[in-house]
Amino acid sequence: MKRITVLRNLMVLAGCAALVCAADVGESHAATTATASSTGYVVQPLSIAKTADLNFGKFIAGASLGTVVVSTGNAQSVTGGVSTTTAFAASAAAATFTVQGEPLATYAISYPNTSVLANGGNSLTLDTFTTAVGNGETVGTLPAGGTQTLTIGATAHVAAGQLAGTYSGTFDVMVNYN
Amino acid sequence: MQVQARGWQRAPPCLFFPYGFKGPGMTQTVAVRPGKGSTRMSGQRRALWRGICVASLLAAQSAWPPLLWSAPLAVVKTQDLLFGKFVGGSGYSGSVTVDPQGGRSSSGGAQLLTSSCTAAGFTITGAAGSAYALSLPTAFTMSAGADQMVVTALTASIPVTGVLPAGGSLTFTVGGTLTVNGTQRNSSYRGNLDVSVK
Repeated sequence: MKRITVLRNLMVLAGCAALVCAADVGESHAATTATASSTGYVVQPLSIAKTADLNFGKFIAGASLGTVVVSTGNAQSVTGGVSTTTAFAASAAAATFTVQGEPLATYAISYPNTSVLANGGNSLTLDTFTTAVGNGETVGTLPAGGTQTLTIGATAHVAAGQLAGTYSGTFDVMVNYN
Repeated sequence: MQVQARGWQRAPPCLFFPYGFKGPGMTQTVAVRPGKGSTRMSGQRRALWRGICVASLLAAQSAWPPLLWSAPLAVVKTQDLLFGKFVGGSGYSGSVTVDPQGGRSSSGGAQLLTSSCTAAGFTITGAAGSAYALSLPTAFTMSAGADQMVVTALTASIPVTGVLPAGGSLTFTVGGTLTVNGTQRNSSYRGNLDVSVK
């Protein structure tokens, strides 16, 4: 009788163990999964191409130093000892560039603080560059079409008695998404 | 044969009390077969075995907490993975990495544009103290039509194996590295990041 009792209890224990094992198999091996959506947007590189050179037009150096300014609206103006005429001013033009990239993206424009125009051993210094875009667009933000015309003007410093001649040089304009 | 069983109720089978329990002053008429009436144990022995049985279950539960009375582990997504906008194609190639903390960096020509980016977010729920094992894919594909990009180096903000903290809820994030090639078409790419927990 004792043996039967012990046997029965052992069976109960075995049952408990089986239950534990069943729970083990049933739960610890069932993997549960969740899914996150992943998105990324590949945009075209930003490009810039020159469409017109910066031209200060013609002007007359005076007995004292002065400046010639070309605005982003292609208007020439002079200060100090520098003088000009309507005909001389007519040839002045701002530099223009076509900037193309991701619509509505913003970008930074960089250019040198100063640049030099040379005529043989003589030179003019450029500074105070100004930028503008047309048609109500914002400088540094591409319009919905992704293409924008960027206009750049500057100031040329003319010395007293600056030698007459054609002065030329280059300056680099860079654009970068930001 | 009918016998009178004194003070011993044969309750329905019960996990912790496989022989029922003694009701105070209760009597019940039960049908037993001849010669089987004396197979029940003495009170002391019964208590001993009952104790062993309960103790073994408790031991099993403490060793493997989710086994008996905890809810199974579940994992849900709380946040999608966003790589944002970046330059690619037209000869520009590189990679964009979103780390588990949501920070974004790039290499090569994959210049980043100002845009929102996030690491994927998930929450594991289950019983406090339950062991979990997190499984991340080694790679998955994002596509825009026929064009594809691959995300690799998936990393989670928590160890891939561990134990659920008090409260039974564990939140984690996942980041990865997206490879952009020089002929990548300009478009919005989309893919699925599956994470498994067991």
